[in-house]
Amino acid sequence: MELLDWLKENYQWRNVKFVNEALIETDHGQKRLRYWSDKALLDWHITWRDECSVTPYMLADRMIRNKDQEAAIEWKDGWVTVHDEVDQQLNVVTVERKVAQMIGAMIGYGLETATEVRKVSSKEPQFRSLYSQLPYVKEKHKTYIRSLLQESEYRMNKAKALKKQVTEEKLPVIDPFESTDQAKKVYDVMIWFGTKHYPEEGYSSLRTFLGKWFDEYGKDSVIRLVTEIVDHDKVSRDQALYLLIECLQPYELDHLTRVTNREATNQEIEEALEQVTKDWERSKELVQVISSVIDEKKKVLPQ
Amino acid sequence: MMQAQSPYDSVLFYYDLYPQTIEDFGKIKKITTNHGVFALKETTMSRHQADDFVHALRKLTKLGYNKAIPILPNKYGEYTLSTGTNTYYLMPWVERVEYTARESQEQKLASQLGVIHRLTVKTQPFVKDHVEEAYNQLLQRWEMRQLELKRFADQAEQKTYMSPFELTFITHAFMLDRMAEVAKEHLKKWYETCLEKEKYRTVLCHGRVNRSHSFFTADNEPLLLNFERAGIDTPSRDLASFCRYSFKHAYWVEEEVLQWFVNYERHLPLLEEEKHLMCAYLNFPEPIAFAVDSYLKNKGSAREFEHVQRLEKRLTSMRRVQRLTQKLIVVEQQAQQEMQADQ
Repeated sequence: MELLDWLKENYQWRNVKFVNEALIETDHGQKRLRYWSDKALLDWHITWRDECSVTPYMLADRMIRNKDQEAAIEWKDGWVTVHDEVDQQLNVVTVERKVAQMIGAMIGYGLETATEVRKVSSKEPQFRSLYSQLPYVKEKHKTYIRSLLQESEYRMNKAKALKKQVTEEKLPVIDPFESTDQAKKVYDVMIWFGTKHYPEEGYSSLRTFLGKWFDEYGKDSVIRLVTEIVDHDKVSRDQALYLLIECLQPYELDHLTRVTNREATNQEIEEALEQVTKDWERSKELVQVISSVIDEKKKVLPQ
Repeated sequence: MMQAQSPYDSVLFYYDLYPQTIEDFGKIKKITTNHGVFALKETTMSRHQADDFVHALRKLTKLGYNKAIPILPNKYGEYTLSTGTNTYYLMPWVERVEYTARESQEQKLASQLGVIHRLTVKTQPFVKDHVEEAYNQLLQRWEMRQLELKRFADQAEQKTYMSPFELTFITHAFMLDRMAEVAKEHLKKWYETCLEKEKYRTVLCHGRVNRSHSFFTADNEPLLLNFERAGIDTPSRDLASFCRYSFKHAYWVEEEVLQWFVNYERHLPLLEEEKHLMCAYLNFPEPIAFAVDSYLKNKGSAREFEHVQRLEKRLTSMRRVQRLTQKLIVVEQQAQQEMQADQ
C-alpha cells in the first residue's frame, strides 16, 4: 500500500496529495509528516508535546490522532506522525510571554519526567586547545586571542563559582531549541514546532536560541523573554542559575578553535575572529540580562 | 488558512474546523463548515468536572448505551477543551423534529433514565461513617434552610405592611414547614432502612434529564445530551431532578406521572428506601428557598410582581408535589399490603 492511501485510511481524509516528501495537502489543510525509527524517541516526543501546552492559546505541534486515536501509524520499518503545518510568523513583540511560557513548560516537563531515551549532554568549551595553536597565529591576532583566552578562564572560574551556589542537581531533558522560527501562529493559537532530535540535558540549545533572539529582536525583547522564563512557576532560581552558567561558559571560541586546528587561511581566521567578537559581545549582554533578571527576582522574593 | 473571525476559531482549530458561519444559541454555537454542521457547547465545567463528564459518557458507550448524542474528539484525541474560563466540547448538530408519538416525551425519558440506571447500578456496602456523614450533612443543610425560611416569615410578620411577596409566603409558611418536616422524615426512613439492610444502591446519574436536554429522532426515539452533571449517586436523586423539571409538561396529571414510574421501573424497580429518598428530595421546599433568596437579593430592583408570580408558581408546584408523593408511597404501601394478603 502506498503511504498516501495508508494515511487516507488512517486519518479518514477524502483527499491527500504530496506537496513534498514531508508535506501533504489534505481536506483539513496542509500537514507535516515526520518519520521515526526509534520508538522510545517517538514516545518521548509524543508525550512532551502533549504535556506542554496552555489551551487553547499555546501548544506544541502535537501529533494528530488517527481514527483509532493513535498518535503515530506504523509505516515500513518505523512510524509516521502527522502534524499541523502553519506558515504564519509571529509578531514577537506580543508573544514573548507565550514563547516564555512554552520554554518554561518544556523545562518543567523536562525536570519532572524521567525518561529512558538517549540524551545529548552539553560539551565543555573547547577554547583551551587554542593555547597550543597560538605560536602559529599571526602576531597581530595573538594579543587579541590571548586577551580572549584570559577572559575565557575568568568566565569559566565565574561559572564554577556559581555552580557551587546551586543546590538542585537535576537539569531538564528538553527538545533542543533550533531557531526563532519554531514559534508560529494560526488564529490566536501559538504553535511551537518541535524537532525530532534526541533530547538534550541542560540549557545548551536554549543559550543559542536566546542569542539568536537577541540578534533578531534586540535587547529589550530578550529582557522581556528572559524575565518571563525566569518568572515561570516551573523555573526555580537554581534552574535560572544553570541557564546563566551555560551562558557564561565561553563557547564563542569553539568556532575559532576549529578553524585554527585545520590549516586555515588568514582570511578565514580573520572572519572567525570577527564572528567571535560579535558573539562575545552578545554573550556578554545576554549574561548581564540574565543575571540582572535573577537579581530582580531575588529582590521581590519574600524574606 | 483563514484568519481569525471569532473567539471560537482558536477552539475550532483543535478540531481542524474552519467555520463558514457561527450562530449563537446561548451556550450552544451552531458551527457550519465544509465538513458538516456541528454544535459547540460552551460550559463552565472545571477540568475535574470535564473529566467526570467524559468518564460518564465513555462508561455508557462501553456498556452499549447508544441513546446519547456523541461527543466528538478533537484532532489530539481529547473530548473536552478547557481554557482558563470555559470548557468546550463538540457534538454533531441535530435538528429538532416534530414529536409525533402518542406516548409523552417524559414517559420515554423516564425509560431512558431506567436504562442508564439499570446498566450502571451497583450495590454498595453500607459504610456507616460515610453514609452517616452524608446523611447528617444533608439534614443539617435542610435544617439551616428551614431556619432561614422561618426567619424570613418572622421578620415579615413583624412588619405593619407586608410586601405582596411576603404576604404570599406567610400564607403558605405553615405548609412549607410541614413539607420540610415530611422531607426529613422520608430522609430518616431512607437512612434507617439502609442501616438495617447494610447496603444501598448507586447508579450513574445523568444529573438533569429533561425535555431540554434531549432530542427525539424522526422515529420519536429519544437521544440524551448534556451529561455535564453526571456522577455516581442514588437513583432517587436523578429521578427527583427529572420529576421536578418535568411535572409541568405533564400538567400535573397523576396518571401521567405514575406512568413515568411504571416506565422507569420496567428497567429498574425502585426499592422502598429509594422511594423514601426521592420523596424527601421532592418534598423539601428548596425551590421556595431559592425564590426567597432571589427576592432578598434583588429586593430593590422593583420587580415585586415577577417575584410574586414566581413564588406562586412554585407554591402551586409544591402543593402538587405533596399530593403526588403521598400517592407514590401509598401505592407502594398498598402493593405491600396486597402482597401480604396474597401470601
